[in-house]
Amino acid sequence: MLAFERQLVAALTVAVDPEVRTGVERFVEGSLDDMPEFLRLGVIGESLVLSILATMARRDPRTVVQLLDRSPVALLRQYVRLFRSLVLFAELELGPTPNGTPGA
Amino acid sequence: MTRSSRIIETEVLIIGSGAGGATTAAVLAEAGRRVTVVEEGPWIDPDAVEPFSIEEMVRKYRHHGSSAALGSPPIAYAEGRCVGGSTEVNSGLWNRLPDYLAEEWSRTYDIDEFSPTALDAYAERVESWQSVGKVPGAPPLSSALLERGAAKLGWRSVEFSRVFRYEAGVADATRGVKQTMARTQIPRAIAAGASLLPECRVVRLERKGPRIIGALCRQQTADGGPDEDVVVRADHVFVCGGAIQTPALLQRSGIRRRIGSGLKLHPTIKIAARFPHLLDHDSIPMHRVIEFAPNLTIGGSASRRGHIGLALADSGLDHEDALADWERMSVYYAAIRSEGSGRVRAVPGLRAPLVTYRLTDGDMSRLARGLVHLGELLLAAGATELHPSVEGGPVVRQTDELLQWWNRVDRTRSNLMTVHLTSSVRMGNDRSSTGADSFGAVHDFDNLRVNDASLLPDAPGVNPQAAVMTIALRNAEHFLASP
Repeated sequence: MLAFERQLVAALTVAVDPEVRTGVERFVEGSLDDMPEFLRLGVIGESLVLSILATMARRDPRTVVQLLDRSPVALLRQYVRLFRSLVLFAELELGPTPNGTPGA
Repeated sequence: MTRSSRIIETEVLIIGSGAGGATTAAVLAEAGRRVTVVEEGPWIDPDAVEPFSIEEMVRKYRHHGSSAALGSPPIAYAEGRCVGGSTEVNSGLWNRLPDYLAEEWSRTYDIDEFSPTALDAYAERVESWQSVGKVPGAPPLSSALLERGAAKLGWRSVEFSRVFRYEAGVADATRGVKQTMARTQIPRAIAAGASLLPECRVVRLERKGPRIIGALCRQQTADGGPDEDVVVRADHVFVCGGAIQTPALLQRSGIRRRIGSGLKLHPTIKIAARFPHLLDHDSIPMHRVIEFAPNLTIGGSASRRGHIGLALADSGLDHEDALADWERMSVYYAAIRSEGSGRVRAVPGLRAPLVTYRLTDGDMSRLARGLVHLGELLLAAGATELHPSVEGGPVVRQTDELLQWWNRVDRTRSNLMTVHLTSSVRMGNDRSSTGADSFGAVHDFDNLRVNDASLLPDAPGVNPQAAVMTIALRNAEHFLASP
């Protein structure tokens, strides 16, 4: 997982429990590593471009997420949706349920 | 072949252990054939992993379940990758191939011995192996809601059978054991003498003129060391890797005529629905609304907390309040039979094939209609809030608001997925449109057969497992009867 992608995952993760955060990051990293190459190469390309743009514009990952969410370009919205989906699924499955019991 | 390759000699090599491969293996092994099954994924005890959990996603799915057919819009898809294939991760719903489709396919693709009567005889036998039946007692509420909504609207719905086994006297739908291939046909094949090589990926088939003489494989070693090269020499080869992996392997082996084109799938659009009461989340609803079948079917999906979160996130709208109430929510879908089609292409140097799919404008229109009908049904069933898998939603609470969705379902905002992939090596005698003959023998080869979902000439409009197993039994017995 690229550094920018790691920052993005951290920005999208709501959980504060370090164990859950680590589990979420591990799941996203495993999913990206296991992705079909043609998809992974596309994601890496977008990550590199966005990483450079974010550095030049001095934007933090959280702001980048907000900008991508509002982008008129479907590909950019799909990019952030991919990360959000992976993070959300892992967070909800690994984290505690709202009534306090551990997740699955 | 490398100098250090391990060589295995067998009579029949079966590549893949899902619905098609496992059925083929059991039938041939019990007929006394010397069978070796190679499976790319690992053996995982079916009781060891909770269904639809994140652990299942990591251990039993190919690509952690994160793959997509490229196109406008892209369509996410998931395949199993373990001994038993997708039967280990699917809903277990069971639907025979509809009679009219068997007749239509037989006529269009010139398929021999493909009458509904002939297929039903095979289906009955498979059903007896797989403990096919309805749930004992009342269906779960998430399923009954589909029936309730349909009844209020005057639409037809049915409770599908499933491949679940129940202890005698048990009347609790959640206590059945899904009869996956790892529980049924694979043990049956092994008991009859078949060998199973898990974590063994076939790199390519080895050819000599019109014959396949074996397969070059790489198998993971138990101690985590470097993969071992294995060459399996066989008199006959059945490729049963599913509609994506089967054409990819054939193409890697230089077999390309009518292979990989014509891919079909069931594009699916979803709604996360909120109800005023608690719902079950352990099983997939077994009711389906068939008022608009076969071109549009409405049903329910896996609805653990993670799945509900995913479905809510698809709209991109604020969903914290709904997510906090996830125990009153469930995910439902509308799936269409698509006019469009796709391609599977093995790309040199890449492990995964490139998959593309083109939806027609008619498909997009059917998906919009499906989403509106699904919304109508869920509101009739008592839902109070509907979150569509369409960017920007909007969230709907009343029937007259549903029409807002018509123009929102387009190529840039719709989030689609599928778990049913078929038709990438169609069967039939019409060589202009098929890659294999009426019984799965690849055209122009003496001893190479396909026996999985790739053979179905079109998407069946329902879960294809029943059709795959039925056709696999038919083709395996035809092979046994051949000189």
